[in-house]
Parts: sequence; structure tokens; C-alpha cells
Amino acid sequence: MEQVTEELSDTDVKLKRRKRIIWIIERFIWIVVGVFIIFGIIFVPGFKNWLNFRNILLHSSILGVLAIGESLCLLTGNFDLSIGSILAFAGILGALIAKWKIPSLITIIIMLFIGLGAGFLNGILIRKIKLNAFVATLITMLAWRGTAMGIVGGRTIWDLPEGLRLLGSGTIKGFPIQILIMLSLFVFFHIALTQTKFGRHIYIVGDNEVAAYNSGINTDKVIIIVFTISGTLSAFAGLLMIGRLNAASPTYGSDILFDAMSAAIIGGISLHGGIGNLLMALGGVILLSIISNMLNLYGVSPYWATTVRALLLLIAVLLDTIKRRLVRYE
Amino acid sequence: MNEKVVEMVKINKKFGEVVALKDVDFTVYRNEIVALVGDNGAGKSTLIKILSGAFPPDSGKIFFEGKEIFFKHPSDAIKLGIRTVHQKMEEILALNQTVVSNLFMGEEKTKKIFFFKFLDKKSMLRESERVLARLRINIPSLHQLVGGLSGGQRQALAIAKAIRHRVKVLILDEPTSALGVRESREVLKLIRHLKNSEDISIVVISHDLEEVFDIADRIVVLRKGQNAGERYTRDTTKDEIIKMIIGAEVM
Repeated sequence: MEQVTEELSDTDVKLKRRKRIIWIIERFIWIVVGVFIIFGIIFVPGFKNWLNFRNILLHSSILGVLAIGESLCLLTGNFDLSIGSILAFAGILGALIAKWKIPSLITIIIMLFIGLGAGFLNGILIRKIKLNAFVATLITMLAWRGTAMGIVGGRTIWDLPEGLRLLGSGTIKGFPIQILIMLSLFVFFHIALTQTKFGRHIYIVGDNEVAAYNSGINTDKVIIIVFTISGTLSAFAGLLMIGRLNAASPTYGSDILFDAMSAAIIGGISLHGGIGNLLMALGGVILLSIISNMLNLYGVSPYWATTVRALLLLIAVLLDTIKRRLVRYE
Repeated sequence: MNEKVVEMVKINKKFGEVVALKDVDFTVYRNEIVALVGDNGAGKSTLIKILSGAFPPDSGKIFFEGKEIFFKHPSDAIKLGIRTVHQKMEEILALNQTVVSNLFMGEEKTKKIFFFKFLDKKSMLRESERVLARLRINIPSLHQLVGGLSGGQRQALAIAKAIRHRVKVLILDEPTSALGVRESREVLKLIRHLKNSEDISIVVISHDLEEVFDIADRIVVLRKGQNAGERYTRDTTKDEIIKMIIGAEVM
């Protein structure tokens, strides 16, 4: 009997220690962001002013919108490779439609529906045609990029109507609208993920799809909806991008996929699904922006940012492995 | 005792050329523990999967409380009150989610605000505490991730998850096969406690005759996808059941 209690208190201590470590790992990304900001303030000339912080957030906004969709897909344990292409495709079509003098609001709605349709198609290919998510979205990634290129013959469309530019380049009292949009989307989807039934189903499907199915969760529906959201957000990011640059090019977002994915993973969203949250992904987005901002201020070639990102990714993936091991019973 | 809850009649199932079940009859009476035994490949799991709605039989009829039923999806069986706890824990529990999240998987309690179904976390927590107390299951923290629980705790949690609602038929597929001796005993105690405290019929699939004789009221034997006989536990011996399982002697 005595032995049993001893055993118990021993596991109790272990549990507590593990909980503490997990607590730290879950907030790791924001700790790193904090360290980088302090480092920047002290050592990087030109880092410590409001305009620069605004730039960092501005740089984060389009990436952030995409990272939300990608994070949702990753949480279900699936990749979405097509986000950058949907961004470009919706951007090009939006710019073309705008040339017909159609009201901007309608153009925007059409763009969002294009993204919604493209995301839905991803979901159907994956769940109904049963293609591997990686392959399915690789196909649509090429398809939308190619179609966008083909429609305009690779050219850029300039000069968009003001209504289309508003969200991407407008400001409220000097503060860029797109930053506000990005932050509100994060808050919205964070609440949806943590406080609603659908959000919980995303985690469960990602953690254990068989268990989810056995429990009566409609796993196909969850995944199709998640990809549809990702597609819609990608089109929305396209709207922000053409608005910011007052031009639509079919090459937009051609490597933003890797940024969005690394942001999510660096933030701590597990590639295996079911672990992580959007606030961590937001941390990842901001960290990436801070790093490229610092290298920029230092006059270092932006290419090195990619190398730094590789290191961060490595650390993030190692932390994920450690965390998975820590929660296991031994 | 003689009220039939489930009656499966002349069930046939083929997988390609392989005959998994041939004209199998299986009945579950009210508030009994019936053990389904047989060698590997005898068709136990196939029969149970048909009863839990995982796939339909090629032919045969299933009656539930006297009415014929057809399942399209496991949720149809769940709606009627037929719940299955699968053999593999990894097919039931999501290890990186909390105890409460697992207990309510797929049946989360919600409050509707505008269009969104917000989780009612408080009431789920309260009900989790109640269910675990009802089953006398001891889990330190309900906010703990299930991955941190022991094998016995996980099995108990899986059973708790299945019978959180009013369940009429609980199917346990090899409930102790992955557990140690002490943990097995705990789970058997839990199964017996369930039968005595609730109006529930329990189907146990097992390899372990010791265990079967310990808890079952009735034993149904399958061999090579066919009925090989059935006995009340009190009227039979392990030898007789073993003979049925391996087909050494015609009944």
C-alpha cells in the first residue's frame, strides 16, 4: 500500500514538471519574438520606431491571412499547397473583372467566391476523389497558377479602381486597414477554433481521424470546410495584395506558401495535426517578419533570411517532437 | 432476462471471395453479459462491425427491440443506443486532446449564439465528473491530455465515453487484451459494476476464457464464420467451449 502511494506521488511530480515544460513550449514562439524585439531595440539601428513596427505588421498582414488558412489545414493533418496560386488567380480575375467597370463590391464578392470554389475543389479532390492532400493541392497549385498566367499571357494588370484598393492600401487615422483585418481574422478564427464545436472537431480530426469517424464526426465535412476556408482566405489575401500594389500579376505569391507554412510550424502547429493554435501561428508570422525586417535594416541580403528561417524551422520541428514525447505516458 | 434487445438472423458477409459470415444468428437479451468467442478469423469482429453499423451485411436481418433496422453509418447504431468500444484504443481516443474533449468527442455540448455553436465547457466538465464518479473511475485531472493516462485509465475512459448516454447495448471488443493483470482486473470490475448498476446489455469479445467465465452470463461460439453453439456459463465448462471453438466434437 505504501509503495503505491509513493509511486503515485512520484508520477505526480513528473506530471507537474512536464506540465511546466509544455507550458513553456506552448509559449515558446512569443518568448522568441520578445527576445528578438529586445535584441532589435538594443542592437539594430532604426528598429526602434513606430513606423518600423508598422512596417513589420504590414509585412505580416498578407502572410498572416494565408497562415490562418494553412494552419487550419495543418491542424487537420493536411497540407494546402495551393494558397499562393489561389491568391494570384483570384487577384488576376478580380483585376480583369474590375476593367469591365463592375462595382468593386461585386468584384470583391466574386473574388471571394473564386477562392471559396477553389478551396472547395481541393476538399472534394481530397475527401471524395480520395487524393492525397499533398498531391491534390499540388495539382491545383499548378492549375491555378498556370491558368492565371495563361489568361493574361504572363503580363501584369495595372491601375485598379479605388474600391478594390481600399482594403489593401487604405488607412484609418493613418493605421493600415489590412493590419486591422489580419488581426481581427486571427481573433475570429482563434475563437472559432477554441470555443466552438467545429473548432474542436478540427483538432480531433487532426489528432485521430479514425477515432473522430468512430465517434460520429463527419470527417469529410470538417476537412472540406477547412480547405474551403483556406481557399477563401487565399483569395482575400489576393485582394489585399492587388490593393496594396495597385496591380495584379500572375506571379504573386509564388513563394509565399513556404512562408505561411514555416510561420505555422515555427509557431508550433504540428505537421501531424491536432496540436497548436492560431496565436502561436501569429507569433510565427510576426517572427518571420521581424527577422526579414532586421536583416533589411542591417543591409543584409534578404536571401539570408531564408537561411535563418531554415534554422528556425529545424528548432520548431525538434520542439514539436519533444512535446509529443512529453505528453506520452511512460 | 428473456427479452430480446438485439436479434441478428441469418447474417451473411463476404469480402471478395472470402466468406466471413455464413447464416450466423446472434441474439442479445436484456441486461445480460454475453461473450462472443471463437478462434482468429471466426467472424467475431465482422459480426460486431455489422451490429455497430460499420458496414452492412450482404444478406440477413437485424432486429432491435423487435423492429427491423438498417444501418448506413455507425451514427445510426449510436442513435439507437448501440455503442462499440473497439479493441484498439488508438481508434477511439485522441491522445493529444484532454479527457473532457475525448469524453464528448462528436457530441460536444453547445450553446448557440448567433450562427455559431459555442462549446459549453462548464457543463461538459460537470458531466464528465459525474460520469467518471458513476463508474468509479479515478482520473486525477480532467484537463489532462489523454496521452498521459495509463492503459487501464484509457480503457476505462473509452468505456465511460461509450456509456455517457443511455446506452442499451455496449459492445466491448477485447477490452483487456492490451492491459496488464492488475489493470485487466480493474476493467472487469468496471464491466460487472456496469451490468449491476444500469439497465444495459453488454457484448464482450474475448480470447481469454478465464475472463469470459468470470464475467459472462452466456457464451456464443463462432467457428469459421458459422454458429458453433451457445451455452449459459453456469451450464458449461471451459473444455466444452474449447471444443466448440476448435470444432473437435459436434455438439
